[in-house]
Amino acid sequence: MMMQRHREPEARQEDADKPRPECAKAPKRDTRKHFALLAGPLVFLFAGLLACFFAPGSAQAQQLVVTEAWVRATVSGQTATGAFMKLTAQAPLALVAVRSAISPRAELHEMRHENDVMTMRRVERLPLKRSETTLLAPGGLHIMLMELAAPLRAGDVVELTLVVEDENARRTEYPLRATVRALDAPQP
Amino acid sequence: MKHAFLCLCFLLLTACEAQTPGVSRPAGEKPLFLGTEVTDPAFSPDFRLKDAEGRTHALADWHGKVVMLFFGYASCPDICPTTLFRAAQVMKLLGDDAKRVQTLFVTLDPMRDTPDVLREYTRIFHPDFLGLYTTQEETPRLARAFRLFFRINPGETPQSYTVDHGVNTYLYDPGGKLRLLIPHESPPEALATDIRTLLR
Ligand SMILES: [Cu+2]
Repeated sequence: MMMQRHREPEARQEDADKPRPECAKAPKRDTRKHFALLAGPLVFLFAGLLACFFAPGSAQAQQLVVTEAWVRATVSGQTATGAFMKLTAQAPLALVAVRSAISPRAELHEMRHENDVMTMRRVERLPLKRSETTLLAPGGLHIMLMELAAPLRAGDVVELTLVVEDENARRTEYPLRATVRALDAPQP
Repeated sequence: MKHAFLCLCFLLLTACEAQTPGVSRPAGEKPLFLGTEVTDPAFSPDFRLKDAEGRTHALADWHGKVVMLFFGYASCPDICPTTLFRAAQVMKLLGDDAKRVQTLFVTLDPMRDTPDVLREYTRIFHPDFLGLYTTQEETPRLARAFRLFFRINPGETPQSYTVDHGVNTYLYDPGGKLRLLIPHESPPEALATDIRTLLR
């Protein structure tokens, strides 16, 4: 299952330690309410799905689907952490930048572990092949959120924006929400 | 002549078989470890490092205990948290023996890992874990003493650098001698087994 209706932040916090599939763009609120009144939870879920694909403001269908976005919690004074997620492109795309209000410096990084050494490098541009899922996961690619001003606690929700370029160098921004998971939570 | 040659071959073969590891060893022979044994007798670094409270520590502080030591930095997105998480699992697996183990997390990033960060970061994983540091100038020398790969990659701003580093865990026996290097991918059960062997 790829997607699920967008959840309220309060609901998300209740089971924050479980990775939650979600779509990159928030569905329109009143559409949701309307359908819910008409036909109950099943249609409600379906409406959410539709709203994900045809989010308000985007003329074409959603070209990037983001699921299971999470960020590792930090302790007071810690200035950097990693954000992880699954990216599935519906067309050939490239992730070219990341922005977040909580970090003046959000970068795409790649971690490698070879010959008992861990190295980390910045990745300027991450090509996303059509219909392929790219993993940003511990031990590999991740979004590094640096120069954090405040600690991130488990259950918090972090807003991120992915800047994606299509084949015609046209840029689209995908806002998304990532749940903060405990620093000592086992790797998902 | 030909006969004698065959006989020699047979003798050599049986001699080889007796040496095969895994075959029952005579009592008194050194124990088998799952981690990599340190064979160079000159490689057993001691240190003088500070904890978050400003106390200076050396290996002798934990005489009689197994010391499990590794390097890292709090801003590390995953290798360091998994190493600490594994160390906490090892403590759980050890049960009562965990009292005879001291886990040390040594930061390679004393500029960003202030004493307060170090204290809170290590305690999240286990209340007995101790975070240690030295000065920025001294850190590369410390890494060299541990034959540890260590490199700072400058970022675009003074605060956004990253640190490349070796990820082995160092195990000292209760006498304070460095005995084993444990790779990052070893499971907690293997570490617990090796620690129990060192405690015996
Ligand atoms: Cu990174």
